[in-house]
Amino acid sequence: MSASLHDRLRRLRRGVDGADTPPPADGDDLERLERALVGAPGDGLSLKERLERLAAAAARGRGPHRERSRVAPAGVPLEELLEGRRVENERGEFFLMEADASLESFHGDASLSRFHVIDPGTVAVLSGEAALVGFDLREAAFLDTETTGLAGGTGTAAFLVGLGFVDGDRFRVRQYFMRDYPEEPALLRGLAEDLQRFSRIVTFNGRAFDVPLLESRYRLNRERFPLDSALHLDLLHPARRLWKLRLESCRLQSLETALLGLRRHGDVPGEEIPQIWFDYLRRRDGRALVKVLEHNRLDVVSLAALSGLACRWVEDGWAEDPRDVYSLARVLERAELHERSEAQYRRVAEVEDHPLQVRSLLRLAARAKRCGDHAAAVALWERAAGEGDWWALRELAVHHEHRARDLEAALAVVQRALAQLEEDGSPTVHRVAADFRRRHDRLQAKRESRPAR
Amino acid sequence: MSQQLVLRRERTEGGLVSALRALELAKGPGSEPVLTALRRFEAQPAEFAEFPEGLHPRLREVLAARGFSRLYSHQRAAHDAARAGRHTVVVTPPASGKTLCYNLPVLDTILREPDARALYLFPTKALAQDQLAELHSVVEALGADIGTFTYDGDTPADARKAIRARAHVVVTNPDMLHKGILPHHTKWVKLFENLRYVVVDELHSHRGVYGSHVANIFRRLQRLCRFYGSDPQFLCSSATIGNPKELAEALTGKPMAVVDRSGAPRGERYFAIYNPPVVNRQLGIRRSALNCARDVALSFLNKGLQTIVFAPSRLATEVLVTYLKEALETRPGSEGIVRGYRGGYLPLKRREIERGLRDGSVLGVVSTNALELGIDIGGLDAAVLLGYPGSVASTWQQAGRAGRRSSTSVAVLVANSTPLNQFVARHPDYFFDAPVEQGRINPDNLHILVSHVKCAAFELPFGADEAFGSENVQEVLGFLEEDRLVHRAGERWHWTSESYPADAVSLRSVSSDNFVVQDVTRDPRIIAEVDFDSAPSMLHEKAVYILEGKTYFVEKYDHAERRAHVREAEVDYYTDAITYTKVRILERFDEEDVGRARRSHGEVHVTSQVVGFKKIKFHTNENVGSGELQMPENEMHTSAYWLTVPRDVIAGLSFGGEERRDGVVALSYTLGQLAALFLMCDRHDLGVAVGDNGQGEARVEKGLRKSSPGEQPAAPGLDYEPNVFIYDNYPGGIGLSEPLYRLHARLLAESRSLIAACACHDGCPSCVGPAGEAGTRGKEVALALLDAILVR
Repeated sequence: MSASLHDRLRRLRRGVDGADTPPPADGDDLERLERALVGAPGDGLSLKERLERLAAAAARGRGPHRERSRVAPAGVPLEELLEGRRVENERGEFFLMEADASLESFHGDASLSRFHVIDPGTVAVLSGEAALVGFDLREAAFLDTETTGLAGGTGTAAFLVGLGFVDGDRFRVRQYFMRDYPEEPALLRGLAEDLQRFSRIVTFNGRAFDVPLLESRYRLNRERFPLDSALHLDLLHPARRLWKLRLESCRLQSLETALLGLRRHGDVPGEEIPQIWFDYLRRRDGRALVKVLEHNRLDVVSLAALSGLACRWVEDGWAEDPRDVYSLARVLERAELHERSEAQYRRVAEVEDHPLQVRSLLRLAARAKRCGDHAAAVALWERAAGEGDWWALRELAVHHEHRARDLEAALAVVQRALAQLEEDGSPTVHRVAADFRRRHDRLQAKRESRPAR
Repeated sequence: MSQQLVLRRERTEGGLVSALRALELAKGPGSEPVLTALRRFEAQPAEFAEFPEGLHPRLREVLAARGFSRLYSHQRAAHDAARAGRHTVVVTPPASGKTLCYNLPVLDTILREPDARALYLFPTKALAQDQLAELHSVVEALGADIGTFTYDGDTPADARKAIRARAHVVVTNPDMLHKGILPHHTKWVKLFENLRYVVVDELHSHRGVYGSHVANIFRRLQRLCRFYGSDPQFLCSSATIGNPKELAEALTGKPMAVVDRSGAPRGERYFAIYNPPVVNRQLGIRRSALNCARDVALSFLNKGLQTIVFAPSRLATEVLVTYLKEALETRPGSEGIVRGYRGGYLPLKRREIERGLRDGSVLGVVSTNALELGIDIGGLDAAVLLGYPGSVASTWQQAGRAGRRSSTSVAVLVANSTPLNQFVARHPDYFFDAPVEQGRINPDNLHILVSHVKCAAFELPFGADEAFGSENVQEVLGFLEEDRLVHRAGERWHWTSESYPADAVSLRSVSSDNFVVQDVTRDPRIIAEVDFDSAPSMLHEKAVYILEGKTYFVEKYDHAERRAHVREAEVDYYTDAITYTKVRILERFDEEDVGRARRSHGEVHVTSQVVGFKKIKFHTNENVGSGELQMPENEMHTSAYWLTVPRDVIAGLSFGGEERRDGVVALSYTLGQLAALFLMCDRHDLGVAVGDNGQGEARVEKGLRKSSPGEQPAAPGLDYEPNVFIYDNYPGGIGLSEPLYRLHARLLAESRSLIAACACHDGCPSCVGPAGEAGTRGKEVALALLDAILVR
């Protein structure tokens, strides 16, 4: 049993494991059973040896042994690649980068100069949240984080926080970066100090992701969370409401390409970002990180530019594509700006053969009905029914039967619906047809019980 | 109350004794006695204790209003220990008022310190629901603002935030704690900062691999508590188990005070073992145990005695319900006095049955072991156990469901014809004198430990001098750093992976993906749920699905949608599925000849598949037809250790072909038992199968064929070369096979000693399995086989 650890491990890997084979059975069985019971399955091997076995087994499972080079090639320190500075506070030190540009300068096809003319009431309309009335984008902080993953939970950290804000006629982006985990408390403290002067923040999906994640980091580092009472515009939701009918994706970068005409060159894909930072932790090579920092900075500027665009869209009714016009009408309707909303619906209602034409007619009709303008509602339903919409027929039938109390007109509508549905014949209309048939029978019965005048 | 018009309740000793006498008379003339044992256990008077001096007056008032003028001695002892700051484990019989043992100190504490918090852990959601209802009613009576909520997979997302903020008592299960709470602890600041008590109910169920996981979850929990500055006390309660203190201490890592002297009164109890009479002497065939259990149950039920019948399977449960309903629910107003109870019944239905048992409106219930755990159904007059439940602890637990506080109760174990049951029936002393099984865990199993170190690192960075369990966690972290999962910076280890490690660690092998059973006779409605593993055997097309005595015909089995369509049908038969299990070797990690046999370990693919079914007529149990099925395979990738007995060794034994195979099966039984013992895991953590290299391709392994009774697998061929597989019964494996590979020599040597030293003649549960299960000469062949292998 004098074999060295090295030899024993090698023997284990070859599977010629004799060292821990007990002598053949003899002696007191009970005692041996007892020993077997009390002895750990480690069988006298050290933890390290057992871990090695585990690794070996795992590697076999994976196929060829993974390279585990611990010698890093010489890298370039981040500090040499970027203009930034060390910031010190009570919790230690972190790395801060700053960049700024004129509000007039272009980001894609757009500039931030519009910020000056946006009505402070627009954000409330855009978001549908009354609490956001008076939300001036010039006083807001635009926030975006780069994290060690998307899984959530306390094992996900934000290693980079980008913060954009208007400073006079400039748009400034500050980036709070931790070069390793021990810098996190200082980063969070520094960020909190700067956030003090903002009571409004804008994010993209921050409600579900960035803000709870930061809250968790502040808790873990025993720091006060600075965003507890901040007003928060999460642009993701209004963006979806405005553009999802037309655009396939409402991710920030899809929006910036489609709406701002921005093309990023050599941008790093978001899913690679965590690994780049993990690699940086081990190799201290800042080269790949430069792209991550640029990516984050662009995200912050895009967020600001898209916020401005969305506001102008709402204020000026910029939409052209019927899908966008319809979406805009919905946003305005949600904010109870009915006159403006109806104006947009009417634009879509004029587009012949568009799938949203009927939906717009129905929206307008519903509005007219709610306002008590039944004649207008009937006219709109008639138009929609003319496009073959059974829901409009149903509304008409209800109107004639219950409101106008015109059984003949109601029956005519129902018969028209049944004829139309019969033609259609698809299984989905089965229920609808059954509904009309019931209605038909009821109307017949009513007519018979009430003698014709 | 309706049944009381039909059947007069006769809960007297005379009633039980005459019922038992009727059983004895049922045997045929001249045959051996059917009651092979009848033990009497003395009544125990109650031992009371006064309410503790310092108990909050409001709590005392509420308890008094509910009829508690004082406590049982064990409740007082548990309360005192808890209030003295000790971690405690309470081990008392079923229905002895265990719940109060922890509710009392918890509520008392919260009434005084409204910030205090408690975490209640139950192994199943059903138990959690049950306990929550109980706790709710006390809290309501207290009129205090004490939030008690369940937080589990069923909790709606929009309710979760409110619960995190408002709950004083969070009722959950270890799986949710592992995946949903610990990794999000920053959302639970109030709970962790003020956590005073962790209540662990049904402690005995936390054993084996599952228990080893839970022990690590408790380590993680305690780490987080240290971070938030709390140090909770563990209050555990357990059913009968051989080593409650040891298990509780291993699970929690804390010294435990044990309260095991019950002060609850128990009436006089009888325990009888009933062996069905022989009906065919030539063939040694006994009367069907199921029919006997029906008769035994009826002899009690007909006297108005509240009775629970434990059946070994869902199928047997439903068949018995059908029989008992036929016999008893004959008069108007008597519907519903017999109920079934098993996993798969919808929660509302279960609650209704539990309530019915407590208030007496349900006279008889047939259940799987689902009612073995601590769901409150009160004490009943009689328990009938259809077949030996497989462990001493389960037997006492099930029998304990019969137990009135002041009158006599009886439990009858009806043996079936399997060798294990016959062994118990013929050697009642073996059973009565056997020690209760011990609960064993091995939290430092490297696979399990490493998984949880990952989870813990995700939750909170490890300090450079921090410990985690008894192994050197710093070495484990160094190992994880090589895989780049953690990164050491300064004095701390940080998680550096995008993954959410808790998702990769499954505490149990069962999938939580349930099948729903939809009755399409009229408007489609969901009538039951079936767990994933049982669905193919219960819901295959043409199966008869039985729910509380009603028969349904399965029209459609939709695997993708996890759904089956059934239609009500009056049939006079039920179906029994035929399942095959097959083990295929995927990769050998190590392989070596030791003595004259070969040991290997590696990755295997375990397949089980329902391949057909039999139609069995109600009452007569005639086989009235069968069918073949093409059902999806249930597959599992796992790791295994296996022993190969080379062709020439097996051929050199002077036994017949079938005897040789029986010997291998016998040996596999012993190996499986000892492997579990050596690995300190539960026997169910391991799967055992026998394969044959000689069939077809040399490396394609045929698995042990689990055929239905009466069917015989084909005799082994001339080139028979058996493998005995012992595999991790968890998808992905949990690292039991590699240690087994190293234990190979010891495993074989100990198996030989054990078999040779066993005094039985041709096999018993203590060595190669009960006589007859592996042929008539199984023990002899197994021994010869080992002798041949172990020759050097």
